[in-house]
Amino acid sequence: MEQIATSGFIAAAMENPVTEIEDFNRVVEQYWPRILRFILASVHDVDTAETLTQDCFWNAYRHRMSFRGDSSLNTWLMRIAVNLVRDLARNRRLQFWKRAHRTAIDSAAAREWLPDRSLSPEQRAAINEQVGAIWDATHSLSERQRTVFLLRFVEDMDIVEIAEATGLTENAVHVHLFRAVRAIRKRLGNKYE
Amino acid sequence: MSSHLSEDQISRSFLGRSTMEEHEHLQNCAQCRAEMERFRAMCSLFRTAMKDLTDRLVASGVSPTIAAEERTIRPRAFYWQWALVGVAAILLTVIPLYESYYSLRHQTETKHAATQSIDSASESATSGDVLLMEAVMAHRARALPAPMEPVMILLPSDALGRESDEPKTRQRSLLPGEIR
Repeated sequence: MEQIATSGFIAAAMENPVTEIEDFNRVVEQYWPRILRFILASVHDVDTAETLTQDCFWNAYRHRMSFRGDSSLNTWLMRIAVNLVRDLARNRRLQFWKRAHRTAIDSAAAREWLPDRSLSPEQRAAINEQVGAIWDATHSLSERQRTVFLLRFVEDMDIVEIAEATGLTENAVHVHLFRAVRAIRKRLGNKYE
Repeated sequence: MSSHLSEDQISRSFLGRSTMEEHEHLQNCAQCRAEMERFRAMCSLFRTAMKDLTDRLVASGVSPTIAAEERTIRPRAFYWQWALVGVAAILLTVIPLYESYYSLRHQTETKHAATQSIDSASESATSGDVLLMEAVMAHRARALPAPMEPVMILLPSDALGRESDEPKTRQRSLLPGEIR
């Protein structure tokens, strides 16, 4: 599980997520990057990711009274985000005639995944190539496989949280995760040798 | 088990679901262990890259908007989709109605035409019957049968009297009690 810096706000949130959601402005500030990261990794488009992230928090604000603290606030927000991504994928299948969005990110366009100036150009190039390879590989996964892979290895959620966020059983999460890892490894091939 | 783990076994081990045998092999095989660590490093690198990317996006202006503020309602682009559904529903309703109306009208016209042809046929049949009866009456009224008429024209006009002894097979036989 992701290491969370101890602060008064977070400590209170961990104790009572229902209390946490009352200060919705802070909720947005705290969880916005996380939701944006997951959605961006899912849809590979900046503008779409921003729009869906806004939709996610808008839906969370409208239904904040229905949040009873059965799960963590992060899991609850991720569930909303997962549903929005799924709805987008379903609508895109029906609108196959639409061209790719101009703000789409592909691995070739994202030349600087990690603009760390302390690294040599060769090291940066190798890193960019590896990250770009996984970026492309996740794009080739099915929607469910991509979702569970991103929630596990980008958002550091455990199997129980992933099952709550996706509405799947834990066994199904294991199966989809295994298939995702196998597919990505197969696609990467010798890239990391 | 072969000398190294298969792809499925490495994937399972990466997810922490390896068997005892696979776990022991990983403990003893540097190559399999290195391969799994390389993939783990790539996933960690990907996670760091994604966090860095979103941090840069947020810093560059993709900033969170507070939901309590007024939110720009983006016009949904599915009104035209509902319009298409409506048009399709109308077509599915109108086309069967039109076809049933057209077939009913065609049947009506066909019946009318058939009635007219039957009436005209009856009229022509009636006039034909009258003509036929007149021809029959005329034929029966002949003194001589029609095939004999050309022959009798060739004979002299008084030949009919001298040939009274000739068997008058063609003359109408007298009815009982009738005087010639």
